[in-house]
Amino acid sequence: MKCVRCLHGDAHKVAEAPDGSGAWEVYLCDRCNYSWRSTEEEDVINPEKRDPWFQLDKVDLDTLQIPCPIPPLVK
Amino acid sequence: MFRDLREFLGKLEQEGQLVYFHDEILPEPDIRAIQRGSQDIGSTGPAVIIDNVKGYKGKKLAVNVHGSWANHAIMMGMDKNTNLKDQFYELADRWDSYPGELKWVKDAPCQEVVIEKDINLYEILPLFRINKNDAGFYLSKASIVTKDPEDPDNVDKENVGTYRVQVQGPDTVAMQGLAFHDVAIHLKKAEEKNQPLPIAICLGVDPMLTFMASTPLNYNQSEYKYAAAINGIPMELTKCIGYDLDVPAGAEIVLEGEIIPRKRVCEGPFGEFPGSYSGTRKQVEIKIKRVTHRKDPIFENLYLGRPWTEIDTLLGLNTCVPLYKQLKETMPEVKAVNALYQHGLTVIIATDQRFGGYAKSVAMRLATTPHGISYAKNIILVDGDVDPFDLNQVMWAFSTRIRGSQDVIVVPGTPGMPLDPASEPPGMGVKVIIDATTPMAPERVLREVKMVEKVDKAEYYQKIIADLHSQIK
Ligand SMILES: [Zn+2]
Repeated sequence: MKCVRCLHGDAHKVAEAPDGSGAWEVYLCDRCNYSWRSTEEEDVINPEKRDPWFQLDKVDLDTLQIPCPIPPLVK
Repeated sequence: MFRDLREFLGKLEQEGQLVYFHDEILPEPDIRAIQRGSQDIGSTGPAVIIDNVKGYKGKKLAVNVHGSWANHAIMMGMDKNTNLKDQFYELADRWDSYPGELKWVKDAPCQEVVIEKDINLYEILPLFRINKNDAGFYLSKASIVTKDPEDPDNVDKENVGTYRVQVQGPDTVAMQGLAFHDVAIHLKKAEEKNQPLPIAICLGVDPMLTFMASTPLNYNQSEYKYAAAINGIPMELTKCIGYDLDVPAGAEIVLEGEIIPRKRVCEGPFGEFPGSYSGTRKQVEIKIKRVTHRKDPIFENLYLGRPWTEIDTLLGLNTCVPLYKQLKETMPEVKAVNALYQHGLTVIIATDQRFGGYAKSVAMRLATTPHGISYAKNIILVDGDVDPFDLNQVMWAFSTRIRGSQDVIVVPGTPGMPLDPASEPPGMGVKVIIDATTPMAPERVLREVKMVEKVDKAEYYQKIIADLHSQIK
């Protein structure tokens, strides 16, 4: 399934409404970790209507900053 | 004061500071709007319990618990109408009773229910997207416990901090740790040995613990002992089931897990306390191994966004008091410190002057305190008899004391706070000192001015008139 933020096909369903009402499902992208609920506003869950500033389809995720760096191993 | 969140909510209800919202709503955008709306009531706004979220029938959510100065005063055990300056002095007084007492209990309420199989956080917690462009569902008000892996028996080094947590899978979360946070010290020691770091994410705790978890304390000062000291009752703790970590016995929900060593995952953006979104970064990943909770648990979360929001109240006086104490050590002339604005990016200090120019020395002292180095970028000085929490008085000082040619000082190229959008490049800053105090000798005073004196007994009559007023409401 296509992620609404990074537009890769790594998204899948992770939850349904726990009260059994079928009110919504939750989806998660394994690539960029974006998650969304099926009942959210169009400008959150529809890639065409999302604010392009928050899209990650043109961003190389490997180059993101690491604010808490991994230290060298110590024996 | 209060042993746990439930006791506090009970007191809020008694004081008319808690409302229930029973109408059926969607998680998004309704919870966001209810949070924002209850926040915008201002300094007397109530906490809200929401109990009818579509898809989450039967689950309870508490918001805006610290959302007003009235609720803050009740947390301190004070009258809900107590003004800010009096809350500040009360907190400053109790600060000195550190350390308070810790007490370990068995059969803790927070472990009444234990989930170890098929953990699904999206189904256990009534999660929701706080701001529209957040990357997912966040825990914004967790008290997060870790230990120093090289000194696990030292309870003073056990850290309780509030860091933002993004749910990134049924049993997976990511957490923002910044290099200057205490948890980063623990993590570094674990990662150097390629060991997982045990972690407990506590949701819905005694309001004073939430307050202390967001206070900048020294590395070897215990948030638990501070909460106990300020509450005036022992802090009741219990051991996690799977780890040697101490958690509040009365917590509503505890997520037990471990930080996966030497791994970073995509996290953010998230609407942050300066009122802007943080970027997308690579942060630590946590595997949740066990969820424990009270029967009928209350999930507590916090709204933050364009200020003023609950986080401004929560990070308010606990930013002011440590700065006040640090200044007072060497400069007893300092009367009060208002660092309410964006965790102390702007600070207003009321001080008497020992001699001409002294207020500017106070500003430079503030700029070199541990918190002030990167945060305090706008430092405003007013006379000791001006209430720095009353912005009408501060603006009066601005209007009638500042001589632009010599009272505004700009120091470029100083450290800055990376989350401040004006910090460019992130981490660099500019300090501005604005001296709105009355000049004193040997500085040349151009004109002799006599301020109108304060009115005796005005505070006494203010209380009486306010009481009479509230009786006719
Ligand atoms: Zn994605």
